[in-house]
Amino acid sequence: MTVILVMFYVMIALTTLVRLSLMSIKIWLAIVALWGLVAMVITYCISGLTPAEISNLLNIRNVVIGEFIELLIFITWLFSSGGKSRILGIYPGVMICVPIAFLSASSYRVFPGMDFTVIAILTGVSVYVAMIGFIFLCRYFRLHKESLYEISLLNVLVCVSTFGLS
Amino acid sequence: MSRAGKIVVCVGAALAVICVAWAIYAYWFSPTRILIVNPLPAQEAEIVLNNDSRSIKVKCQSMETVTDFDHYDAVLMYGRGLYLDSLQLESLDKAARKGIPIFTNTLRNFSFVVTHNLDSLQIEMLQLYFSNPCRTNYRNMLRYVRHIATPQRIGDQDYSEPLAMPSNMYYHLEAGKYFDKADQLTAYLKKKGLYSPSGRNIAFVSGVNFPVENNRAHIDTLVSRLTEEGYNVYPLTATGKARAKMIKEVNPQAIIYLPMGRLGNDSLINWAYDKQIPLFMPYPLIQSREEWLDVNSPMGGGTLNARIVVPEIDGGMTPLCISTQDASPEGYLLYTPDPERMNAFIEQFDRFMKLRDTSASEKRIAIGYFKSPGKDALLASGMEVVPSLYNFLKRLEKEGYDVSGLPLTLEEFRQQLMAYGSVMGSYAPSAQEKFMDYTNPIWIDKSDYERWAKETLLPHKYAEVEERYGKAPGSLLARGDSLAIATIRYGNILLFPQPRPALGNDEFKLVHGAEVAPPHSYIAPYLYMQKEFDADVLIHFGTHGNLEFTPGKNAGLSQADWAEVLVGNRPHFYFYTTGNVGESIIAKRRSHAVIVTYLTPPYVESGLRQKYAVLIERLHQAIVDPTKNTSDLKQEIIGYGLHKDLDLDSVGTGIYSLDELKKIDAFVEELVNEKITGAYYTMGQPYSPKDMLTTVIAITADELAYSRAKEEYEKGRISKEELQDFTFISHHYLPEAKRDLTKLLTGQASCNTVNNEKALQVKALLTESAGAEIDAMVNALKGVPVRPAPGGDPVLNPNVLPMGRNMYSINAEATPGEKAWENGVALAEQTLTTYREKHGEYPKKVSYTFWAGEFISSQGATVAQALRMLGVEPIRDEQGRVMDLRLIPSEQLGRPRINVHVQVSGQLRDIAGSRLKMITDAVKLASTASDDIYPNYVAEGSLEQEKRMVEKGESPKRARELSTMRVFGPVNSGYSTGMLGYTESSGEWDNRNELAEGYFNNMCAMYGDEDNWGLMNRDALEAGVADTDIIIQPRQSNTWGPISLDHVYEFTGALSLAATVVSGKEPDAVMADYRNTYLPRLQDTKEAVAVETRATILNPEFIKERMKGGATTAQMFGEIFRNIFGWSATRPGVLNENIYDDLHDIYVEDMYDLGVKEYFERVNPAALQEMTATMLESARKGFWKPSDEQLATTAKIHSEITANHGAPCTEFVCGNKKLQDYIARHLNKESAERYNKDMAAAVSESSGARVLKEESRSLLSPTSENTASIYVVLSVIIFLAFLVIGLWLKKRKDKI
Repeated sequence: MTVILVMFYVMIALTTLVRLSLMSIKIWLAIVALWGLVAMVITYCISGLTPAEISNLLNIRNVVIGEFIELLIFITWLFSSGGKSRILGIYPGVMICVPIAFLSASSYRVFPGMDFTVIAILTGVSVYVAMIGFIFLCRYFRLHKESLYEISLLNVLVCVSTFGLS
Repeated sequence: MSRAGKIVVCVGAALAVICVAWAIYAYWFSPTRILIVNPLPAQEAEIVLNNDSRSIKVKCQSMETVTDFDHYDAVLMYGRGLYLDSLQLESLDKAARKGIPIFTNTLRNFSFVVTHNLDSLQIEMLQLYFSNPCRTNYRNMLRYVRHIATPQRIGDQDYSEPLAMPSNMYYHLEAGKYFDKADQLTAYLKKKGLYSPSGRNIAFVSGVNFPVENNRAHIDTLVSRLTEEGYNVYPLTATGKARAKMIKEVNPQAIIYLPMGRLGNDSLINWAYDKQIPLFMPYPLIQSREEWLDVNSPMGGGTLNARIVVPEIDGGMTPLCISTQDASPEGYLLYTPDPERMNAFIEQFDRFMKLRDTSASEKRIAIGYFKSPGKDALLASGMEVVPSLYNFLKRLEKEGYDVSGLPLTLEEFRQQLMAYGSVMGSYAPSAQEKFMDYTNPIWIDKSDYERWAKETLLPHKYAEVEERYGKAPGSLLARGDSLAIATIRYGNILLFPQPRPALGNDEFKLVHGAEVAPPHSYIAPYLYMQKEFDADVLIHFGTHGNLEFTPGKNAGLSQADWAEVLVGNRPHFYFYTTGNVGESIIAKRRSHAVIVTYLTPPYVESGLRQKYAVLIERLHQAIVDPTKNTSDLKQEIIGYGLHKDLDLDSVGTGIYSLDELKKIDAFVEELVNEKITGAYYTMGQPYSPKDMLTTVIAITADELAYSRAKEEYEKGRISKEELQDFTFISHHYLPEAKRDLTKLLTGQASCNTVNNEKALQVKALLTESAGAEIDAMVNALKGVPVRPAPGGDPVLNPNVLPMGRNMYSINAEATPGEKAWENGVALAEQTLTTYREKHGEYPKKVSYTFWAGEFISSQGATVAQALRMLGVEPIRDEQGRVMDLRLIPSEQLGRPRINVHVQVSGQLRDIAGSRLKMITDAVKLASTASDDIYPNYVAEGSLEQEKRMVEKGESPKRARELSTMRVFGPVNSGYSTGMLGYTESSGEWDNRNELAEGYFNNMCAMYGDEDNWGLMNRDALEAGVADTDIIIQPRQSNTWGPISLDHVYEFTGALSLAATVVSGKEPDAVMADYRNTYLPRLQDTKEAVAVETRATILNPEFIKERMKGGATTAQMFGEIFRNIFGWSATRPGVLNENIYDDLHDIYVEDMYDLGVKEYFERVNPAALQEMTATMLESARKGFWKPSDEQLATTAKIHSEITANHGAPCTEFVCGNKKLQDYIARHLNKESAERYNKDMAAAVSESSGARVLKEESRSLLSPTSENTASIYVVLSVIIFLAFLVIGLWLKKRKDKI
């Protein structure tokens, strides 16, 4: 079950990062910085939660439904044009907060004894750097809308499987 | 000017006017803001409520919360205990620079005194106002401060000079009436019609010189109520010599003191006792009612010390909380008397005083005694109960008490007790039926019982009983609507056995909550004693019962606490062994008991010196002269089996090394000098001449030997190492000291020759003690107070003699004492040295057991050990109290900081909670130590603990908080680890791991800091015990050892087992032995067990001595057997592998021809049944691998006694069906049938083994494979659909 969850989180992150790579550099840099900040805050807040409480918050079924909706938005954007495309194009994807939260929760196991603020900063910076790195990688490989479509389809498969297995 | 300009001008003018008006107001008319820092709540209320000026605003703040000083016009501070941090001091300086007057009220030379912007005259005035607290002065002080801080402000600048309040004075209810002499108060009382010519005078000392006016509702209530009862009350406030003088002037028949420390010096206290003036010490609490009643908020620290601990030194009685401090509607804290507690105190006081008036023949005495269920003997630590009780009753008869019906012979009395005064276990319903049918118990009708319960218990407490045990009359000793209680009545004397405090599953249940109500069968006799029998006095007979260990507050009990409410408002006296001061303190504080100490059993010669004399000589020769170290010697040592006890090789050839010989020598010397006790003591019977001799020698020989050795050292004849070598002293000085003392005590020598007067003094005191115990109790029954005294083993502290006194504890705040610190340091370093020698490295974690008795006797030496391990040392104030801690620099420490884990008894938790918090502070300090040049195992341990807890599912933050928790104990307000009952209910568990489970469940309450005090956290405990390298058990008394006291295996054995289960490795186990006050030392537990085993249970001399005793002494054998079983279950490695074979040879085969079986059949057959049952259960469990013949003989004896005397109905046998079946399987057919029949006659057929299991929780729901498959298929279909749609859309786009 853990393996499937990790795979699912990876797919969420992948889909969102590919989506971000299709935006202009200024926009995605800003969004990535925001996510870095969010990662820091989440990491700090999560220090007071037990794994059971975190599991409750990141209820897998709710996450799957959320991700499914997000994928629908991405796919719809891919096939729309004009005003609709512009409106849907604004949406950068928010479900990446889930793998970030998972990463935050895991970071305490990796750095036991370290000050929580330091862990939060490290996590935030790591998320920021990793996201930037991956997006540059996407742009280097010239990933485009069709790539997003294919990844989204795959993610739909993963969503449904995860929902069934949870 | 334009319109806009006009508007600007108008607005500007308006603003200017407002500013000017504001400035005028601020300068001339605004109220003076006065900040008062660190007042006691009582003072705060008095000051604020006496401010009658609207121009003065007073704000009171504690020193912890105050932040800004410069927003006020004046700052007044109470100096007592004042401490400000750097930020606060900065703000204070800022205020001072602004010109704000700042004043600190001081009583003595406090280290913190800050005064600014005041001249000497002003300081003097303020000091006078503060020093003479009364309404008028508080009012004028505020006005005076307004005058000096804001003289320009208009209004309320008038004030009067301070009124001089007499510092030592008598007063009464009317404010402003103060008297210098008692006569003046008497005249005033007469004038007011408050004086009773026939009434008794009470000197009522209300503490330090406040509150004298206002905020003293509790004092006024006490004075009024006592006056209504016909007493002449003389309230006074005074200190020092003046207090003593004023008390004596009253010529009181009683003293009531609201304690804040001692009443006076020893001279005053001795005067009071010489005059037979009782001291009563109820107290007000500076806590809200909610805090007081909160079971999870124990009384501790300075409050416990000042209100209870220190007054115990004076022998104060009735430590009841009579008032709290609660918020008035305006928010100020006012003393609020608790009506029920006030009534309780008045009634207890009045009943005690009336003991002087009631004639002996009219007095009604209730005596509760203790007994195991079934046919086992009456119990009391070190006391032969039946003859002691008989002697006591005979003495009462002689004193004129109505004891009609008391049998003429002791034997008849014993038979009546066993027949009519038995305790029933819930596992023996047949025995219950027999009891109800044939022994004529007292029947209590349900309606009466419920009425009494309604009158006595709080509704919600009674509801707890019903919830747990159903409606009255319950299930035990119940028939129809009536409940039977076991009692024996002789005239006006009621004897009753204390029933079991829990029933059924609860008897060994893993208790996990504070609120465990006792059953109806437990409550009923106490209610009967109060309501129907209407006892004048309650006596508990011997150490100890369980009433004082029922759940509730640690001190300051209320009507919601069982111990308090079941004793009721009777004077309560408790015969208690002097050897157990720790638990006696709990009885004093939780059931307002007055302790009357009784002697320990006499110390006797073990007879082992003769046995080992030749070996000792050979050893000494071999140590000095290596040529004498031969293989013969080795074989002789092996022949004694000593190699097994010391883990030496058993190869018959070759020789032992010099170090090994020294080790053997030390062991044998300890063995031959081991102090053992003989037959249990009977009150009223002095020791025999022989026992007197051996006891006095036990008490005084060590001191004489060491003093002679010290003289030799000072003359340079022996070295320091030799002086500190127990073996050397034992060999060279102790035998001579014993010989000389024998001559002195038998009249063959004089004091001058032996130079030891002390021995004769001790002898005199011991002789006096035999009569003193009953004398003290008889006097107490006449209303004569019992003198206070320290408690403990007389060998360690002869000052506990004579007996018949009221034991007291120590000031926990001053621990570890200086001597205790030295001992602790020495032992801690010895621990590390010994461990390193054995293992080649430092231990990383040391686990300690803290007990109350040891804590008191050693003045906190084990606490000192723990601190030293951590590399932390105490900082004391001028009064010797340990106020803070200091990290010992790594360089100075010279070694790593060692991690610690502490398990505490409930008793220790109650009397020294502040020390447990101190240890946690020390752990935090050590964990964060930086710049250590050696490894810091404390920091590593905290990290490891944090990791483990995160893995167990704690949040990282919580895991971090708990990573420094090291102190664990039983559930808050509870005292039982549960391990004794659980281990000995051996039919209920099959695997040792189950016992470990029990330990983790029961002992996981944390006692590290206030936030987590008493919270249960099993994961934290598991993390705490993991990887323990060594366990240390304190030992501070010669009256018990690891096999004679069950608590040793209960704590050390259980902790060892728990650590082994968690970590997979068994830690070392040692005892911190403080019995030798000159040379405290560490001893391996296995060695300690070996010494005690050889000196006692396997020693024919010991057995012969004990066989002089009666039923209770015989019961002791059973207890030792059960304790050996307990060790087998928890840490079998401490026992010699042949222990059970040896026990079989001695007690079943009677190899020494001592007449063992005959003895037990005569005095206590149930004890031998228990012993044989224990051996058979050990075999069943696999702890003992007996031959078939051994099993058969043991089972045979067991069944024969059962056939001759009936089933014992003790828990070990009758509650264990598996054992009964096992026994039956090892008997011949006829005996087996007979045995089964006898057992069935006592227990229910349906009773079977019940295995306790924790409820299982399923964290994950199972996933149906079928459902998963469906979803996979569905996902594929959807994917394909999206693919198709996508391709179709693309194609369409291309077309376009």
